[in-house]
Amino acid sequence: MRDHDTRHSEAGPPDEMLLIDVRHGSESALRSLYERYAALVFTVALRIVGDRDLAQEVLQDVFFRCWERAETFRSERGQLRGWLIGIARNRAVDVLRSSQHQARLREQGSWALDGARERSSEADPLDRLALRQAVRTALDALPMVQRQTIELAYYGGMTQSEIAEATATPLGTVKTRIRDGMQRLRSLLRPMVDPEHESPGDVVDEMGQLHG
Amino acid sequence: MVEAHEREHLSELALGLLEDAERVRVEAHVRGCPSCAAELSAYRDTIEMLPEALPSAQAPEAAWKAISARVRKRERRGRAGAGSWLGRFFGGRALLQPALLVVLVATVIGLIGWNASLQARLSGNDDSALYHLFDKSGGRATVVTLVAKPGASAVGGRLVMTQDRAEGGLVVGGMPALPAGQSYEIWFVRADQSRVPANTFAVDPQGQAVFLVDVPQPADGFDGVAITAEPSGGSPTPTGPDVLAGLIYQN
Repeated sequence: MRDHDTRHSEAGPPDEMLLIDVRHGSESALRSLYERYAALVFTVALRIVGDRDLAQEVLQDVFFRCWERAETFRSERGQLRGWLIGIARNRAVDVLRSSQHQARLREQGSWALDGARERSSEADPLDRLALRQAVRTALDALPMVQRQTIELAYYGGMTQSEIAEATATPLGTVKTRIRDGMQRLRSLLRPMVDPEHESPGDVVDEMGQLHG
Repeated sequence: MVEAHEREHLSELALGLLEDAERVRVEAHVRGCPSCAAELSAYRDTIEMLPEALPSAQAPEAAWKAISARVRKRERRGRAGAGSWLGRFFGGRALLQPALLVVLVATVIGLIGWNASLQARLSGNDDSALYHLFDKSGGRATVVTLVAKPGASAVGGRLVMTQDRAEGGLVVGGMPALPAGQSYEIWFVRADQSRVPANTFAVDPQGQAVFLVDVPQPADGFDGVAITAEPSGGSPTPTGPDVLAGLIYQN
């Protein structure tokens, strides 16, 4: 029962099994998923909305939605982690666009991102650290304009037209930056997505060589 | 006519950047194009990794309390009309998943059409034995959802135990027929993965079974239940893969 093939099998029950129990009313199972993914969901929300209180609201909404709508998760479309991040991103972007949020930002004068502090890496499993390092290395490998454009789209919730306007860049250039940047990221991170393609150690080495 | 691939739009689709008309067109193509579907999936997997690069923030302590309070408030509202023992047996949720619905139907059929062996195990001719487990626990029975492992053809089942875990009852549905000389066996699983055998059982021609379970005592320390196919009469240790498995949560 603990030998299901998931990325989290070493840390407890598989996500899929926990979600099944959430569907059937187990608050304990929801708590287990919360302990597994709350920090990640909160991190994404905080990055998008830039306010700890609003990010907490997003976090609460995400896990309440998980409780209410667990049956809408489709494993064939990806992993639970991605599903939760997707909900968090969509909810946070909605908040970002709300008039209430705009007013709060005006009061604060800037995005309050100082709430995000690096946690001790000792608590993270080695494969998570390897993934984190691989993603950071891959993002660092992108030309700055490509990285900024992708981050404005993903974390800023902006359309390509909005990005073009905000950065005073032709729309066609924005599209090219998105496509080229995503293609490059996909290529660099492919071994992390598909471990059989190449071992994680090889990925870090390869990217280290690329950017060393 | 071969439709042109939409590869140049896949990353935009994954990021949610396509306008409605374009999104609908690209999604329609992806549904019928395995190579573009695989590429889109790869882009989505890539995007899901992006948050890993962020400085990780600790979730506020108060968040879980707020979530738990909302969940309990919602459950109280959703409990209306869930007074039957079957409703409680399946968790009291308003919407049942298809697999559990099948089990529910199988349970009803099983309760109506007891076979001789099940009647003997239950020492009665109705559902009072299982109901009794809930009754003794004052509504705080432990319910374990058993799900099929990937690739297994079984549908699922539920084990209910009294609050003190001294007694238990099992209902399963959609279990594959076993060859002669084999029977199903229940295992209680400890955190270290060691297993203690409980009952062996057979299923009826519809793949269903409902019976009382001999919960190993003391029952503390078990965090899961599994069912395997074993030689008739049972085995001291599992010899086959899990057909069904589920986790025991503290109520």
